[in-house]
Order: sequence, then structure tokens, then C-alpha cells
Amino acid sequence: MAEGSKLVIEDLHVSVEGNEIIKGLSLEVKTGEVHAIMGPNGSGKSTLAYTLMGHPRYDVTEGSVTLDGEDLLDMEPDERARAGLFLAFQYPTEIEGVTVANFLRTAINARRGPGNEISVSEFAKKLREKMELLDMDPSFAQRYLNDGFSGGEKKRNEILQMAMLEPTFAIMDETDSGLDIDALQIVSNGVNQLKGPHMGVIVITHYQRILRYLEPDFVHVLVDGRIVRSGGKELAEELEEKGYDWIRQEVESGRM
Amino acid sequence: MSVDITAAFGEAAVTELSQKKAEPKWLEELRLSALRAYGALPVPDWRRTKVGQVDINGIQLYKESSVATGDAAALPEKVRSLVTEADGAIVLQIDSTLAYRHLPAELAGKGIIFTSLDQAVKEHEALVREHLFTSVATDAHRLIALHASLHSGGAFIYVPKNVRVEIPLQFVVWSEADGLGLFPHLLVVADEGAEVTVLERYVSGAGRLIVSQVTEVIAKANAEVTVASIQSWGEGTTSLVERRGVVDRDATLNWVLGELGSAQNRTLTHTRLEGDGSQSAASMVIFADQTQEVDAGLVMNHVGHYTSSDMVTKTVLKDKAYAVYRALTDIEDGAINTSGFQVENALILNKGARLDAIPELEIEETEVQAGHAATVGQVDETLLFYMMSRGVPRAEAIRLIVEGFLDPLLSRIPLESVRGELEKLIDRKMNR
Repeated sequence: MAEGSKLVIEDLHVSVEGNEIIKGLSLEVKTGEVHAIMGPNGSGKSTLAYTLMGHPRYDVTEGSVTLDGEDLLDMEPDERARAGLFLAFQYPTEIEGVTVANFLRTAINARRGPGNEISVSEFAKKLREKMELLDMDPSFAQRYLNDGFSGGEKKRNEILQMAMLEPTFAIMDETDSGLDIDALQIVSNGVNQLKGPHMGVIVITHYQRILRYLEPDFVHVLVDGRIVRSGGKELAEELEEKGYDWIRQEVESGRM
Repeated sequence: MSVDITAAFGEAAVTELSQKKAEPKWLEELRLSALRAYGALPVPDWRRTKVGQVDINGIQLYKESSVATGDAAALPEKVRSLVTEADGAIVLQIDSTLAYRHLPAELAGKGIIFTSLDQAVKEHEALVREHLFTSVATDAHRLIALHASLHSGGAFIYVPKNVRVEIPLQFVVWSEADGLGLFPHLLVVADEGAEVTVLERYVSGAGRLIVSQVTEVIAKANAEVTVASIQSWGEGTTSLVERRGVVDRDATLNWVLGELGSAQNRTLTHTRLEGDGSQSAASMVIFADQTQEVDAGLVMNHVGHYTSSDMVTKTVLKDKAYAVYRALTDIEDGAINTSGFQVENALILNKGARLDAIPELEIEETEVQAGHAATVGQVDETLLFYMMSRGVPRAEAIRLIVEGFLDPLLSRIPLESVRGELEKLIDRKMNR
């Protein structure tokens, strides 16, 4: 967690099994900023999210990603996380036999390092606080991670992890998918409370809906692996009104 | 491991052993008859492992404990840590004989008997004679015959009718010997309506040990017995374990088994569901690493009507370990309305570790419900990525996954302190 940090993505090209999905993407995100990345299905939204986090299936063929000048692409996913990156998954995985609390404590201690582990009471206090913030029943902490959770519960649990781990840059991969309005509001409220001068947020979404509650400072439109248009939050509203086809036409006709 | 050799001991040695223990004639005869069987029986051919060919040449077959005390504080330090519960019920065997025992007065007052088998033969002869070797024959196979002729130390548990034992009864066998054969025999008799939990623990150093161990459990009508057996023999041990349960009408026998130790380990846990309405559940954790070889068998033998069985096994294999696991649901003709299920899940942590899972159902009756499910897999890469994306390094994520995998079964271990010990053992295996 640091103020004044910068995540810089420069001319990123990513392939999966030989197919190029991201075709030259550049983006700069500072802490304190909320960037929305919107795009139709297949535009490369999740690819971007997974690539930033370091999923082994995604090949970066060109370009760079740095956090305060440090080369992220050279790091394993856990190193990137400890450097301050966080990804809220679209489809969070279940971990059999590992409770939410146990996992969170392990993750926090991984960051803090041996000899500097968080105390039981400090952890319990923090967990209670954050669960209250997200309107989560305290009994959740003893459930096996994501095991039997509803879609909404899984997404809320992702934000709980974000709240507990306090990343410098949080990427939210289609967090709004599968959420009803109430859950969406709770999640957005949580992120709103977390964001600030010490955290930058990248909201990856297909729909404009979440951006009503989680207001972006910048909106970027991703089509066919490239950012074709950037703007303020009005761009999201325009997109909502006119649809992705409009953007595609604009791109094809060379107006973008 | 070398080829079989005929007994390096004979009648003289067995007779001497029996007389040293001042045993009644029938027991001496039992030993001698077992010895003759040992001489006559073939070396067991258990197909996938050569454990049956164990060589006792040069092995000391009996060694008295260097300590025999009534004061826990007088026990060697390493052992003292095993006697953890204040005012707990424990029979501790070191090498071939009893070293220490404690039974809270309250339990003794209820008529509960818990002592070494050697002692029980003297103090409760009729009761022991009635039940000893009734669940398994002394000549069932060559290594049982060896055990029967040389058994020493051991424990005898008797719970009277309708008595409920509130705390687990612990039978602990510990040895730091090198070049010793151990033949502990545990006999548990739960009379009608009795309720008891037994915890067996087997611990040794790195020395060469050959262990042939038998546990017999007789659960009479309406009794409820849980036997948790945690085996963590050292890396020089070859262990052969035979567990036999006989379950009477409406009684329940639950097994919680932790197979972690020994260089070679073969276990067979056989439950005979004799009485109508009898039930049994077996939960087993196998964790083999380095070059360990494990051959674990579970058999649920359905005889009575309306009986049910449930077998759950979780196996973790690492390095170049090899495990073969057999689960047999054996439903005899006439065992109507049987319900018998098996689940087996295995996690293989690296190439080079191998598992042969052999689930079997033998069904000779039509009105039954039976089924099995088995999964074998490596650690899920997606899951690893998820955990690493939270800052957990790869090795630790794998450890967490393994812990989570085993947790549902580990939570069935009746004593918190023992469960903690087991978790530490697993941790050590994960880290080396």
C-alpha cells in the first residue's frame, strides 16, 4: 500500500495458444484513480486481467508492465501480489478444507514475512471490521473458501480479500457479473471505502451498471485487444446508450 | 528386503517367553501351535508389494522395556511427551513390555478394565481367553502366526454393559531399538450397550524394526466403539498390521486410521458386520513420501440384515512413494438391505509417486445399495494460481491445499493433542 504509485502498461501483446488476443495495449494507472475498462465479449478483458496477474497460460510476446518502475512480468503471481497487485476473480476457485479466515491469515502473513506475522487478536479485529463493512455474516469466516458459496457470496468474498490485503492496485475482473442490484451496491460500497490515495482500481466490465455505484475517473473501451477510445465517465453512459456496435463502426470508419 | 528364511527361533525360545511371563498352559499352547503354523505356512504373496517377504534373520524378537514405572515423570523425555493428557487413561508399551499405565479411579470404579494384555491374562484370564484370537485365526497367514507366537506387551480393554467411557483410552507403543521385532496385540471388548473410544499410537526412531501387530475389536449388541489408530513408525520399520472387528446386533464400529510411517507398511482392516443393524465406518488417511511403500486394505464384510458400511480414504503421495489401496465391500448371500459405500480421493504431488486404487464390490445379494467413487488427481493449477495471486508462495499454497484435502478426516481424530501431532508430522513430510 503506497501513495503516489504508478502501474504502467506499455504496448502489451498477449497470445494464448498461439492466438494473439491483446494487440498493443497501453495504459497508465495511478493510485487514487479508478479506471474502467469496458468491452464486448472476446475483446480481451479477462486476458488482460490474467496477464497482469501472471497466469501461466498467457504469453506476453511484446511490451512491458511495471509497478513504480519494477518489472512485473518477470515475477511469479505470488511475487506480484506481494508487490501490491490484487485480482478479484470473475470465477473464484473453491479451496476444499481451507477456511476463509485461515486463508486470509496465510495470505496476510505471506506479505508480512516470517517473524512479522499478524497477531491473532489484530487479525480477528480487522476481519470483523471488514466483514461488517461488506455486510457479511461473521460465520462466513469459518466456512471453507468459496465452497458452496452463491455467486454473490463469492464476489463479496473477493472484495473481503481485497479489503484484508490492502493492495496498491486492484483489478476487478467482471465483478458485477451474476450480481443483483443489492449485492452490486454492497460490493461497490466496499470498494469505494477502500479506494483512496493509496489504491488504484481497474474495473473490468461488460456493463455500465457497476459504474453507477463505483464511479470511474477514466473509461477505456477495449475492442479486439486494443483500447480504441478513452474518456471520462460520460463515455460509459454513451456506450450504454449506443452499444458496442457503435464503437466498432467508429473504429472501422477510422474515426477512432 | 531379502528372501524369506525359516524361523531363526524355535519352540525353546517361545516356551521360554511364555514361562517368563508366567502364562497359563492354554496360552503357551496357543503360541506353540502358532509357531508350528509359521513353519508350515507359505510366504504371503501380496502381489503388488513384497512386504510379506520380510526377513527376521538377525532380529531380536523380544526386548524388555528399560523402564517400568508408575510415575510418568520417570519416563524418558521423548516418551513423556506422548503421555500428554492429565489424568488420562493410558497403557504405554516400550519395546516389548509395559512401561507405564494409568487409569483414572473413576473409570476403574465403573468396572472398566484397561491394562497390558500380559497383565490381563493374569488378572482377567477367563475374559481374555473368551475373546482372544476369536476375530482372526492364529494361522490366518504367516505373519499373523509369527505374531501369535511372539506377542508381548499389548493391551486389553473391557467395557462393561451400558458403561460409557468419557475419555479416550490410549494405547501407545514406542521403541527406539534397532534390530527388534515388535508384536503388540490390542484386544478390545465392548459389552452390550457400552461406548468407548480407543486411541492407538505407534511411534519409533529410525532403527530397524519389524512390527507385526494385531488389533481385535469385539463390539457386542448396541455397543458403540471408535478406534483411532495413528501409525508413525520410523523410516527403518517394516510394519504389518491386521485389524479385525466383529460387530453384533445394532452395534457400531468406527475406524479412524492414520497411516504415515514405516518404510513398508501393509495394513488390513477387516470388519465383519455380523448382527442385524450393525454399522461400520472407516476413515483412513495415507500420506506416503520419499520411498515409502504402502499397501492398505479395508474390508467391510456384510453378513447380517440391514447392515451398513462406509469407507472414506484420502491419500497424498509425494516423491517416489508407492501406494496400493484396496477397498472391498463384501456383501454375502442373505445380507439383505445392506448399504455399503466407498469414496477414495487421492492427491499426487509429483511425478514418480504412484497409486493403484482397487475398489471392489462383491455382491451376492439382490436387495442392497452399494457404490463407490474414486478420484485421483494432481494439484489443480487453477487453484494454485488463485492462491498465488493472493501472495501465497507456490510451496505454501500446495501445503495449504494438502491440509485442506486431509482436514475433513483429521477432524475425526478424537484427541485434539494427537490431531495436532499428526498435523505436525504431515507438515514435516510436506517440507522435506
